Amino acid sequence: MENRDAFMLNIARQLGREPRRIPQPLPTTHAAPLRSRYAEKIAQQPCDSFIAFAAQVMQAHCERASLATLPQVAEGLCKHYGGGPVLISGDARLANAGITAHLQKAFPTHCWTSPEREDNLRNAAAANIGVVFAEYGLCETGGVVLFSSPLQGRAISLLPPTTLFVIYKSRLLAGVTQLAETLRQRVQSGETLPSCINLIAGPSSTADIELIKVVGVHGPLNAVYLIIEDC
Amino acid sequence: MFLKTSNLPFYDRVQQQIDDPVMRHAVANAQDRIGINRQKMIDELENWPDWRSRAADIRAHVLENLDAYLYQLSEKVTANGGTVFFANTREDATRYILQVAQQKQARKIVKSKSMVTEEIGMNAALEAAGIEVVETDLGEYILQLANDAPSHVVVPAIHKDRHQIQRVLREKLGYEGAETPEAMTRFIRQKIREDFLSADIGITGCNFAVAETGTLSLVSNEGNARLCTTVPRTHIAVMGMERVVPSFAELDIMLTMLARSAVGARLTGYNTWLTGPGDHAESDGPEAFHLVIVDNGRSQVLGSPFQDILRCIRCGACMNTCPAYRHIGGHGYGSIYPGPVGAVLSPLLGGYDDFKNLPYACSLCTACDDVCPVRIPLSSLILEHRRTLAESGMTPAMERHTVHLFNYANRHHALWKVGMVAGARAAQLMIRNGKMPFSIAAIRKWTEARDLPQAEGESFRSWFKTHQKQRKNGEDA
Repeated sequence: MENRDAFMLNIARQLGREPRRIPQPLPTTHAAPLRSRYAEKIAQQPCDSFIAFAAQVMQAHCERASLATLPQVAEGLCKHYGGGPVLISGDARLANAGITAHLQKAFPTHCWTSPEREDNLRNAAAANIGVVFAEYGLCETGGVVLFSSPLQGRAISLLPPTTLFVIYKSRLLAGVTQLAETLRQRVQSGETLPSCINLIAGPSSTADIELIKVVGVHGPLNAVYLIIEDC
Repeated sequence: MFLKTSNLPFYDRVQQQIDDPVMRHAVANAQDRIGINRQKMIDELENWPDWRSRAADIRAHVLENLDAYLYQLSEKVTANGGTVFFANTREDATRYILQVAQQKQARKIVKSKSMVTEEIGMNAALEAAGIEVVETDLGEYILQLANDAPSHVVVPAIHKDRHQIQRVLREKLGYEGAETPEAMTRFIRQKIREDFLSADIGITGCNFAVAETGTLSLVSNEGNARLCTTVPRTHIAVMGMERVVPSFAELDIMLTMLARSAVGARLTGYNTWLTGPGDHAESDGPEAFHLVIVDNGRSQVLGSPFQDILRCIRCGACMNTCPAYRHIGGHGYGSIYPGPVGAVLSPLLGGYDDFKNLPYACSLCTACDDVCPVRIPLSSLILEHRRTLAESGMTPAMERHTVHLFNYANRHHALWKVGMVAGARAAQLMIRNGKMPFSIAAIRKWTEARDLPQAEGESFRSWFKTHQKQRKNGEDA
């Protein structure tokens, strides 16, 4: 960064002051909290709000299941979207919920492993369905939050035509504001952030031709949320 | 052709656009539809004016502390394993990107939509060195095939309809499918998928960079920005130096404002937050990450009367509401930054020689001021450009002389009075069917587009005097 000092000095000169390395505190000029008209409804009925927005606006297929029936429901959803080959994240929470073993029995299934880059990407490109564990759900935007990790690659939810997102009902957040707070706390307590955090709402889409929405561009054509009723 | 999308003179460019019925229909349709969706999203928020003020305050604060935030950001990105390059000029930026590409022996690069890479002319520099660059945003991909320029910062191919797009796909790629957006989108998906899987480098822009954590936020719907940062082993992100936010808390507000203002959505389908090249135990995602921070004229705007334009988050709301943009489209402006924001920004980054006409592509209706999510006083800045141009003598000579004459007459009462009486008479004699037998150069463009009213043969002052006199007589009688 040999040119950083000169670059910063130039900015400071234009602003008519000495260069700064520490920003001044961000002033809170508005006392009124920033609110939405739907916040109350989300607070009262988080799961219903989440499903309503995800299904109706973001075009995600939402399904609820109890812990007991989870593996069977997951299998049924995979079948509905054309079955295997399935690529499943190595996240232990999917295995603990019984989904990994069950899908491995039902379909030709690969599990994302570290650190086989070429194998993993080849499997992702060939898979029909990618199964991932979603860290959080966002009621406001009808989206889910994915953390990348050595066991849960970015490509699982990207290359296959269908993604199955598994999410605990107890991990629904009101919106991005709450996610931002959670992440900030993690950072301030010294945790490292995942290299890639994805906020995903529904399948990929575009409106680049005549502003007509077409679902399924470079990413998945179908997004399926499997919500575990754990509370 | 830095920033410019056309070499035609301004008025020829504008005429060409006005004569393009496809563009005019498409842009009017887009403005109406995005406008309605945007309004719905704004109505969902209880106190929109407060949201705007907060967003404006955050952006203004960042600009006032820009050196400090860039210092923080670069420290964090480096600590996360990335490399930061500060580029003073567009040449510095493209030279560095090319150097990285050559070091990696890259033959193919996939890139997602980024205005700043358009601004610095990155593709041309890479292609000149024999490196293939594939635009992966659907709209940009179509434009790249058609050798055309973007006409909107959010919907770049808005000026083309399905028939034109089908023709491009057929001529360039042998497409034989239907002309529905669905069929053509599916075809392009298959085409680009091969490029994604074989590319050596992924290049993206940066909607916002979070200084506190060194995180890059990418906003998209298509999934192409994700693909660019998943398969290739190297990721290069290019950002305008002002696109920083202090922390995730402010990122939240900016993303809300961006999605609602740009496309009328609570949030876009994909928001990707990247922190560093990543854990080496991860088997996808890039192994190397380069962040190129671009000045390219922005620092000259800091501390100037135009500083507020750097608050812009490229949502396009101003062009979606602008009556001038509605009629002349993005290409009428001849800059990759069109609309009200382009009328302010293009002359600042590209100079008055090429863009001095843009501040005049505006009726000062101030509709853009009202929709801007970060409260940029766009119309005032456009007016400021006009003032600068007039004071530096860069306006057309005929216009200057006419204004001088007007000012002179205006200061001399007797002359003004004679002028008014004579002018009113002359107008009555000469205006036939809304036209005059000759045209006055300084206002020719104006009179060409309008019918003049039938003249009364007297000035307002003389009419008023007579009228008053008549009333008085009437009352007396």
